Amino acid sequence: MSFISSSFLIFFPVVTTIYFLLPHRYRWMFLLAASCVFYMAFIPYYILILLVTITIDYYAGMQIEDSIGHKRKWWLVASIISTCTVLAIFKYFNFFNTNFAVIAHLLDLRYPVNFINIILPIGLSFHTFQSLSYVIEVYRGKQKAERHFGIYSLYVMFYPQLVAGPIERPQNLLHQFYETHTADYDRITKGLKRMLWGFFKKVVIADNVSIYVNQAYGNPHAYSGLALFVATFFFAIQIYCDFSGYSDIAIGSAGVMGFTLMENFKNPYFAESIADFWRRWHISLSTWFRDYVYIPLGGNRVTYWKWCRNIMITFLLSGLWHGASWTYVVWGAVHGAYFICSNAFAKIKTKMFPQLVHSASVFVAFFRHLFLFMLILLTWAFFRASTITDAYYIIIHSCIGILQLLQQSVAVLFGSHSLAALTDTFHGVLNPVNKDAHTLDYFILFCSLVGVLFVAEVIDSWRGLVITISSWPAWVRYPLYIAAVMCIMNLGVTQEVPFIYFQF
Amino acid sequence: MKKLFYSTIGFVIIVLVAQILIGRYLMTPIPEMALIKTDLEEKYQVIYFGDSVLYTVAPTDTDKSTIPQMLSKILPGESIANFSHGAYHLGIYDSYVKYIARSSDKPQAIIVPINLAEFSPGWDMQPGYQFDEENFDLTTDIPFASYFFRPLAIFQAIHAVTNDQFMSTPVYRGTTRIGTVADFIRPPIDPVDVPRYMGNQFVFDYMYNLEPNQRKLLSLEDLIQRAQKAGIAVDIYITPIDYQNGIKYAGPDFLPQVKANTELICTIVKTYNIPCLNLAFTLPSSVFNYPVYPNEHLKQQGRMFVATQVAETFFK
Repeated sequence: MSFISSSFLIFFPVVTTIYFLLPHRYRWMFLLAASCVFYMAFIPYYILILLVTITIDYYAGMQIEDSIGHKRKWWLVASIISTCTVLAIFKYFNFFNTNFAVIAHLLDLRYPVNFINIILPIGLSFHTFQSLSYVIEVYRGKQKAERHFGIYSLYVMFYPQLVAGPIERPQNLLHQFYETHTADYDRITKGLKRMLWGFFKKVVIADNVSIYVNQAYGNPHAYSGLALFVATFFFAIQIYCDFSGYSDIAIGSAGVMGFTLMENFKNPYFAESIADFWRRWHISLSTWFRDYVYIPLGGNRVTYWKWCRNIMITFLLSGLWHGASWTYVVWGAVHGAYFICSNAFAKIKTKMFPQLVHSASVFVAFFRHLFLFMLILLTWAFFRASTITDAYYIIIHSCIGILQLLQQSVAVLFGSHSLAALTDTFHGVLNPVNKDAHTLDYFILFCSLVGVLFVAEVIDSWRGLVITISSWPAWVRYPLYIAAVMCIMNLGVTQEVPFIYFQF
Repeated sequence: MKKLFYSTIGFVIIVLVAQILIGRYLMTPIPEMALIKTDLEEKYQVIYFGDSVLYTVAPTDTDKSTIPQMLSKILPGESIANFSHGAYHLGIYDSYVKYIARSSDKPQAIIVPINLAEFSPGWDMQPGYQFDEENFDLTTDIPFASYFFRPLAIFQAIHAVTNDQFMSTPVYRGTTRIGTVADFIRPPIDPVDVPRYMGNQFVFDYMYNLEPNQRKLLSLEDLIQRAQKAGIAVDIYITPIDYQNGIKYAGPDFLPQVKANTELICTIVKTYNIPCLNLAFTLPSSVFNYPVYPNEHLKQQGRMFVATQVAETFFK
């Protein structure tokens, strides 16, 4: 069941009401049943896959705790292999199969393995990583094995975070199923406000700008370089609003029932460095890779080259986690390269330009943010493009488009070009909107929505958006809530725009 | 908890009222909805439904009249309303007939052209050709419901066809699956291999194997039953297609397949004791008007032929 569906608008209040009406001892059962209904709204029989991984990891968890010596390790390895096998079959089989077939073709070898025609179970990467987190934490002794099969199943299947995270840790979530939650007015309204903002980000901002992005990325050769740059910029907004919107709805809906899920985003586009960006973007995944891949590889307590290797492995795996395609692998690789370069550059800067490191200048800060944002934009082109060739085309033509715009602007400024040249360039930017007579109106709407997001992000980074708005007088707050609801009801896109991260 | 309950109820009421106000004063009404109201108020005797074939003219035409205008010239005594829109189809006509049947100012007759391309996946499943909002407005009897179309559609209570579904719709040549819409949908014309391009387009538009349970055929039956129940005469004809180029480019199996499809349509129409005017194979290629891809748009002579046939068959 998608959060953006009429079914969820009925499901959520009904489940929440019944949850609070039930005695505590029955609540886990009810939540588990509700989570099954939520998951089965996609492809019902895929719940069997979940059941298999849950059963294996539940049993493995207990065995790890009860065993000693090498046996513990074997149980951990068996659990990891079985969980990763599910992921490998459903998500990566066709990807690797295609690549092996290409290699075989190049070597003139016969390659008889066929594709398997299966649909990826929704949220597979999320709940398998959550299961892995559990067995690893039990193995490390940081989490006691859960002996209650129902509660463990609920840990994996808890519906707010089942299909797109946040990828929870057992230490944070498992104990909460044993706690009694009462219907608290402040907590419920806080959760609802969080959900409202999530819906606004997804339905109003992400889905609207996706119109432009889909058009431009669907046929990049048909649009100007500047239009492709704008499309990449809008995609950066879309993916942030889409995914952080989902996380807000997940955290908010869990919060209404009294559960605290981990934060997944902290104003990532306000990051000051690439490392800072990864501390703010998809936090539950980046910390997962940090804790279970990067640190076990040695982290930064190794030689410089080994550290570089660790970084690249972590980011390549992170790229591959997102999707079985070379575009995601390149996206991860570019981020890894940024990380390494950023580290090297920071050392040079400290030695050669110490005044820049400690500069409090707004000018320096602005350009630092702008530069980082541009670097991140470049990676989004790989993330969104259908092929690596398309991504290169988009990046190169975006750069050419910006340079042409600068050149034209300078020429207009010095009077060697008429303003008409700039007008033509601007018309090229409007082309992907593709809304006949309303093209300009839609483009203005998209830009205004980006403006709204920027203001909200500034407020959020300052004191927290929900907290700040809650402190405003009622005559400001309530019209604002109603306006947000009306925007969600009227400014959204009527065609279904699935959450981007559902495909992972 | 009482506080939460009452504030939720209050909030919901305010939102509902605000939505009605927005729908009433800020949303642009669908022009065709306003037009059908006017047509009914003006008590036209005949409402002539149709798609772009009705009104598209060729640059070389000396008479730029639409088919309904030509029909009006042939039949000066009849008041005929042109109710056409690009890509309209049996599904939306059915909704309009439902609306008309409820009106106190019903027309005496409706003319319903059936365009053979409307059953093709490129038209039938095209997201932009679903007219969901019009369908919802026309077929929902609940007061103020039309103001809630957008929120219902945004939250997928009204299932619109998505672009992905459209692109993955299978394409058939007869009963053989030959690809999906993504393989056929209006690619740029290949100047090197025009015959192949044209052949693909003819196959895509006309060579499906029509089944009696196709949703537009079900709409046709629904439409006839509704109209007959409301005492409105239904005149049905099949729009001419460029069958000569169809045979030339798509191959010899073009004609038998398309004939089988038209026969099925006429069989259904005739079960309701309505004559079926089949104009599909009546016009030569020279009277069709399509510079880019094959369609059913007609030049002046073609439009006049259709108007004359309609007049002679249904208004004797």
